[in-house]
Amino acid sequence: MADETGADDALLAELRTVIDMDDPPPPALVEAIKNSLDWLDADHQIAELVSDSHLAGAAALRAAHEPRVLTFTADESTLVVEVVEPPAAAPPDGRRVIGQIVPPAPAGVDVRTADGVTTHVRADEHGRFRATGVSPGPVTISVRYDDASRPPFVTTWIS
Amino acid sequence: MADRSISELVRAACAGDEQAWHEIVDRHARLVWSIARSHRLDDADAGDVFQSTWLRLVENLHRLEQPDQLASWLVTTARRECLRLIKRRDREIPGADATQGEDRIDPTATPPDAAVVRQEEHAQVAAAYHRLPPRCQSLLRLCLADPPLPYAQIAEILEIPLGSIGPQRQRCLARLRQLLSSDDHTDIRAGDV
Repeated sequence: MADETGADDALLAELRTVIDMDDPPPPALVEAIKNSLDWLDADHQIAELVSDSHLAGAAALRAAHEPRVLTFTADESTLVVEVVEPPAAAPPDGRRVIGQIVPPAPAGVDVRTADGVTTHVRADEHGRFRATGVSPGPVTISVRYDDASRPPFVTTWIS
Repeated sequence: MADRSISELVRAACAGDEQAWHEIVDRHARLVWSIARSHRLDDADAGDVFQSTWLRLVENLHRLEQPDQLASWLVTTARRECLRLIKRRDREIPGADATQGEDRIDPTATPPDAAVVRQEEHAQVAAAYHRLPPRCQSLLRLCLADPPLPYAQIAEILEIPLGSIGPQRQRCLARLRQLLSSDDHTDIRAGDV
């Protein structure tokens, strides 16, 4: 390969252009990501994931038919979330997110998906809430207690 | 507009500077997408990996230890997300033939005006690229990443020895050239072989 470098560089440059044109990151996803910086409100604590039934070594086949249960903790709160995927035949917007805040307290709850859509629901005095029609993809949940003395929190993204 | 360094952009984005965040995304979106594609994920799965990787960054933006190493952080995270997704779906990456017949070039598309010749060149290179073995497609794509990836990282992603990257790159490129020249007089855009 005597003439490799110069010719190769030219071909690689061409190939780079081709790949960029042929298979760019989907613009809708790029836009959604650009709008995701405000995920962390300054006054919200981050609730970290401490357990995920999908990572608990359950067989993938079984897990696919069972709700996914995740637990998050912030300083003074624990949140248990169940994500229930709709049956394959149902419309894709049939996903449900069911939650339990511990210790229980009434709160405003925002369920947000990566496309920027937020569903606002209420947690009752038992700390329970339910959101339906949650679109597919990553989800995050933020909780603001009616009792303003308890710090609000937001979960890391469930993906 | 003066170019801001990555660390400056990260710092600004942490402080809520949307513009800085957009620039971070614009500079690295193709890189993250390339990593997902290099694991041969389809559109939906690559989209999942793309989104989760960036959301992980939003979560960790204020605690990045080396903001100037952002590209490397993104690559590592995207790779982890790929492996997690592949494991979760409990299924195999499509085998070597799966993408062989793929032809995303539309033979009926009429390119506008003066760009015709250039478009045809592009179409030929694209068609040849898609006929490369998937390993070659991944390798070349990673070698062309922007910002550039160190060979060590490419080796890790593709799970091949570091020393074989250079030779494999040469072989893949030679194969691409061969596909291009052998098809000079045949209508490679009209379909797959």
